[in-house]
Amino acid sequence: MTQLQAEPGAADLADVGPAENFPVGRLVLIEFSGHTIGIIRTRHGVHAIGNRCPHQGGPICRGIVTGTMAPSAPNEYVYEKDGEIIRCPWHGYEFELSTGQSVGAAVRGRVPVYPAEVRGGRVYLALRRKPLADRG
Amino acid sequence: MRVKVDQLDCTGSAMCELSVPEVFVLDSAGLATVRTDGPLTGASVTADGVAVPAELHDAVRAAAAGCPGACISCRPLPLPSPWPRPGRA
Repeated sequence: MTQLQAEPGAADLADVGPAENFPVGRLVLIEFSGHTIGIIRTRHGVHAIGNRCPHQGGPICRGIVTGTMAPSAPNEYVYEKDGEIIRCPWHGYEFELSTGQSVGAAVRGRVPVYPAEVRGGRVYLALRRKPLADRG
Repeated sequence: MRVKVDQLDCTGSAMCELSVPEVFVLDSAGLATVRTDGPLTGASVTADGVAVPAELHDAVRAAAAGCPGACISCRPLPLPSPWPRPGRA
């Protein structure tokens, strides 16, 4: 686990390392200003999430990154959002990496999600919550 | 005891609000916060949190222990010194 600290007076987005430290599809845990944050790059961008499941506080960053089964007609099986869903290792609840929302609203609340981006080959993270309107 | 919610880690599961609605409420962003109305009207508020009356301490500790986000902190208020201050009779 990487130990990092936000620099006092630094801009909102903090540099957490080169993008090659965060291979696509692999969740990497970092310790950032006293918070454990999981960072994962996907085909659609980079996501930063807290390490607590809203259900019972399970270590969600130890879960697998996967897709989910979409609602469909009988005898039809529609798999979607591959690589955009994380499944909690404790009880199997699924959450969207981009918003933290529970798939199918199965669980009240959401996984904490923080703004993150890749710029110039480096990953940047802001230690603030994404506002509700800003998700996606 | 002072109570504080770290909204960076809050999962918005509302377990705290369900168990101690006199102290906790979800804000417009769906994240828990400590009330300053109702039984806590006029309570002392500092960077360490909101002072909570003694009759709610056990319930607040239980809510903190059951919080999925582990984002509720409870700090004891400093005890009054048993020693008389210098210069006082």
